Formats: sequence, structure tokens, C-alpha cells
Amino acid sequence: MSVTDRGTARDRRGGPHGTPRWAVALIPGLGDLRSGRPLTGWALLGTWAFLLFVLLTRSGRVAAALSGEVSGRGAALALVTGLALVWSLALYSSGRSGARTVRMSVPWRGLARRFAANRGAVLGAFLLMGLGWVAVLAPILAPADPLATGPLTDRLQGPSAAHLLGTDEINRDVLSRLLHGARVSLGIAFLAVALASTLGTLLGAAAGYLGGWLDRALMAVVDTVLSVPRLVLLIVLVGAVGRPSLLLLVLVLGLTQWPQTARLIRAEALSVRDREFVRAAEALGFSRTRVLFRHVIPNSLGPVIVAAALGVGNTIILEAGLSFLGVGVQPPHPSWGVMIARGREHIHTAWWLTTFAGLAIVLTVIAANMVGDGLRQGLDPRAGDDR
Amino acid sequence: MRRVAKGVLYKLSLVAGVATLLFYAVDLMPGDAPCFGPGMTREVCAQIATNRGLDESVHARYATWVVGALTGDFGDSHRQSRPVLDLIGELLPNTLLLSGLALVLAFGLGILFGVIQATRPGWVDGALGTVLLFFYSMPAFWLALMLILVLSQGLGLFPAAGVTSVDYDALSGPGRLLDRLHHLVLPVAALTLVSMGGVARYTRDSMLEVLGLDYIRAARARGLSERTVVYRHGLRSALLPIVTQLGLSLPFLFSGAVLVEAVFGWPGMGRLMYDSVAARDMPVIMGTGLMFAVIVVLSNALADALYALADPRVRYERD
Repeated sequence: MSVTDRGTARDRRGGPHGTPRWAVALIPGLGDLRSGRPLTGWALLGTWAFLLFVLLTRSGRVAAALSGEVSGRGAALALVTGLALVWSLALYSSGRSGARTVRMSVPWRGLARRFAANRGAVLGAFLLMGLGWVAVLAPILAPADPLATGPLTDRLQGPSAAHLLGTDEINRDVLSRLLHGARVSLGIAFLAVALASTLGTLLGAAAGYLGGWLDRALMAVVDTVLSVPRLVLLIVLVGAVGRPSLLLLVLVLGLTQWPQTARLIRAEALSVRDREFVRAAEALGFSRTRVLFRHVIPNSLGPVIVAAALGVGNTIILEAGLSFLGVGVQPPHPSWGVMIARGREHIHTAWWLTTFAGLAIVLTVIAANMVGDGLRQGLDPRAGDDR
Repeated sequence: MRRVAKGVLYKLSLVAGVATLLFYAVDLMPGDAPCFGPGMTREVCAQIATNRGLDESVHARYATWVVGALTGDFGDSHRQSRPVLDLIGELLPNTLLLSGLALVLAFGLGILFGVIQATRPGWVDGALGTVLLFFYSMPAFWLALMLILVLSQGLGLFPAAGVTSVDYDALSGPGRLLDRLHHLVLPVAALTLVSMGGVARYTRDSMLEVLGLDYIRAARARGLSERTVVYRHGLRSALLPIVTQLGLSLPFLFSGAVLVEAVFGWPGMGRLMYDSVAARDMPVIMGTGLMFAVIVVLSNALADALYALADPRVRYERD
């Protein structure tokens, strides 16, 4: 995706200046960097360098995982495919004269430009992308098995060269558990937010556009769910089951979040409903479903995207809280919340257990919040220049 | 007037909706059999089930509960064999104290920082924003643990748990007050630090919008001091959206309070709620859940009323 199309016409036609073509073909992102698309360039270059680095330094591990000797086949496959994709993209686009251009409609282009100009948002997006790769590649990256316990006689080791972040109360490597915890925490959060956003968008937009009894009934449900503190609702729903599965956690987190999304998009749909283009589409005789999906929803999506980005951070904190109380992710799954809860019992002797798990949460949530802030400012035309 | 009545009726129906939702949700979950522990014969178990009305249908039990609740009887806790209302009456003040203090501080400091950010663009705005985002992105319970680690365990400044010290009864009047305040510092700090970032951001954005308006320029042109312009003219209208935020942030604060109570062993509603869910103590779950809902709905109503009071444009017209 081209985010900042600032390259001059000459650059685009004549290809990048002063850089040999073979370099552009071999190093993904270089072409984009040379023709003035720093965001795409750095994203491609960063991904490529990171994946290549992992592959080279852990080649034995990747080979073993691919042949099925050790676990982590999915991660190894993702690594190899990701690298192949990035590289073939570079080869493909360098073979063509002229840069890739992705056509976006006007409002989205403005959003992309303002987002790219926001340093914090870009940093957050890169961080989140990196964390995503860490989650995917956890089995390859982790120095040890997150569930393998060492001898109990020297448990709770402080950070050292052998265990960079120390070991826990049954002598498991904390760094390995943190990396695997990224899978659990990010996976749950992204799936739950995806569920909530989809459900909330459909229901909220339908309620706002169609109105009538559907709107009243739906808003009553939304207001009811929002009348209970979310954590209290979650404790009741999950706590009563005792040992929830990961799927149940995703479902419960998603199903308690959609009302917020629905309320946002309903308000938006209410204002879009009376705009000329919607009226025109209706006058042309298109069905209400078509108008809803083709006109109302695409034009009301802004706040949903912002809420989704902020929701990821929020959900990670909530999931950690539930796990901390013992009604979230169940041991031995390495979840950041569980690690904090376990670490709490040893906080007097082993500070590293709670501290690092919490820092991992903070880092992830900050990244998600920065992206959300960037999107929010980017969607608000008043916040920046609008060509 | 009719609109107000309609509003009140709607809020009441929300509380009723929450009660129904909670009752059936808890009932759907497995594991409500009280049949374990020493001395639990089949007969004792069956008798307990009968006493708790478990042999009736869900709907019958729900009806019984509603009738009881309407007459002010929320039943007895299974676990403690005491009226639910007594338990809540005992623990609610602790939670209100904790959340209330944190709410006041979070909004006071948040508004202050937001105004500073809005009036000093550049590095002050950026640095404050970064620090606030950092705290805003923390789980309250983790920050609480870190505060314990550094301020309580490391420096020995504040107690790490409880509401009062062991020797509380031996203390004099002012000593008792100080002891209570001493125990409040860390939990309130954890909740405040985590929540004030959001308030500051709202204030900053709202302030920036207001400060760009014509009447502010007019006030400046009249030669008023910057202080008067910002605080008397600007902040007054910038506060409007923040008032709404006050009502909406209460559920969030309670969520944080539940976890912070768990960290500090604070005897409040959060702990009561959590313990009763773990023990399947149905009457207490219903009682506390409903109590939270009532507080949230009330605070939302209050925010609406404050908003109407502060902004003449949305005042209820007679109809």
C-alpha cells in the first residue's frame, strides 16, 4: 500500500535514482524508500530484515520445526512464507517500471496521509507489527520451552545470561513464557475485537439506518449491557464456568464489547441516513440492504476503526485482569495476566516475575493506543491540513 | 416534565434488564451443586437444594427473587448466612471511599494537565502526553503491585494491604484518621494514575477547540489576562463534554477498583462480588451486580442532568 505518495513524476517513471536495479530487486522496501514512500519502505525493509535475521540465527530450529522434530511448525511455515512473500514482492515490482500505486477513495487517502504524518502513530503501528511477528514466531524465537520446568532446587533465578529475564516459581524461563504469552494475549484481543467490531457494526448500522422497533430493542440491549461495569459482567459470566477455554474467553470478551461499537456506529449511521447520497441511492430504487452495506456502513466506519484500535489495548488489559483473578486464561497457558498473578506471590523475593510481564502489557497497550490516537486524529479533518 | 418521567422510567427498566440478564446468565452456568465438603450426605444436599429453591424452575425462582427485591429483601448469603443488604452496607462505603477519592483526584489532576497541555503546545504538551499515555496504558492492578514493590517494600513508606493497621484500636482519634489515610494512599494512587490520562486527553482536545473560537479572541482583545481568558472563559465551556465523561467513566473506575481491591486485600464490593461468584453465592451475586448497575445508571442520569444544567441549549424544553 502506498501511504505517502510524495514521489515526483520523474522518480516514478525513471525508477529510483542512484540505486542499482539489482539492489532494489534484492532488498525489499529500498525502491519505496528511494521513491519517497518511507512508510511502506521501512515496513517492508524492517519485516524483511527481521525475518531474515531470525531465519539465519535460528536456522537449525526452523529446519527442525519444519521437519516436525520440534513443535512450532506453523511458526516456521509463517516465517518462510512471510519472507518469500516480501522478497517476491520486491522482485516483482522492481521488474516493472513505475511505482505501485494503490487507489484509495478520497477520505481514506486523507486519513492515510495524516496518519503517516503522525510520528507516534507510525511508531505504534510498527511496534504492533513487530509484536504481531513475535507472537507468530514465538516457538522459534523462545530460547526454551515455556512449559518445561527446571530443577526446583534453584527456582526463581534472577536475570542472568542463561535466563535473560530469570526463571519463575517452578523454574521455567520467563522470557520464553513472555514470548508465548504474546500469542495468547494478542490472539485473544484481536479475535475478540474483530468479533465485537463486526457484530457491533452490523447491528449498530442496521439500527441507525432502519430505525423503528429494531433500533429501540437494540439500544435497550446496548444500554443494559453498558449499565454494568464490564469487569463485573465478565467475572459473573466467566467465573461461573470455573475454568474457561480460550475460545470462551474470546466469545465473552467480544460479546461484552460490541454494544460500545454499536452505539458509536449507530450515531454515525443516523447522521449519514439523511445525506444526499443515501437519499439518492434510495431514490434509484436500490434495496435497503444494498444501501446499508454499500453506502451507510462504509461511510460510518471511521469511529469503529478508532474504537477497534483502542479496544485491542483495552481488551489486553481486561484479559490480564481476568487472568490475574484466576477466571481468565488458565495455567499452564503462558498468559501475561497469569504471570503477574503468580509473580505476586513471590513479589518479595522475585521482582522480575511481575515486572516484565506487566511491561509487556504496557508496551503492547501503548502501541495500540498510539495507533488509535493516530487514527482518531487522522479521521478528524480539523486536526490537520486537508488538501 | 413528561420527558423527565420517561427518562426515569427508561433508567429503571435498564436496572430491571440487568437483573434479568445476571439472573439467567448465572443460572445457565454449570456447577451450582452445593454437594461437597465433609458431612455432605445425599439427604443434607437435597435439603440444601430445597431450601435454596433449586428444585423449582428458573422462572419460579426468578419470580420469587423479583418479589423479594421489590419489597427490599434480597435474601441471605449462602456462604455467610447473613442478609445480602447487611453485607453490602458493610462493604460499600469502603469501595465508594476508594473509587470516589480516585474519581475526584483523576478528574482534578486530569483537567489540570489537560489545560496545561492545551495552553503550552510544543515540548510540554508532548512530554506530558507521553507520560500520561504511559500510565493510561497500564493495568491498574499491575501499577498497584509496582507501587507496593517500590514504595512499600523498597522504601517502606506506605502499608501494602488492608484498610487499617493492626494497632488501629489503640490509636487516638486523629491517629486513626491518619492511619486510614495512610492505607488509602497506594490504592487511590494506582487508580488515579491509570484513569487521569483519559480525562487529560479529553480536556486537552476540548480546550484546544474552545481556545480557537472567536469569543476567546474577543476576550484576549479586550486585554484580559491570559489566566482569566483560559480559566474563566475557556475552561468553562470546555468542561461540558468532560461532565458527560464523568458519568461514563464510572463503570471503568469500578472495574479498576475490583482488581485494585484484590491486590490490596481491600474489603470492598469488588472482593465480595468475586468471592461470591467463586462460591456460587447467588443472592450476593445478584445483590452486588444490581448495586453496581444502580450506581452506574444513577451516575449517568446525574451526568445528563449536569449537562443540561451547564448547557442552556440542551435544557429540557416544555412539551
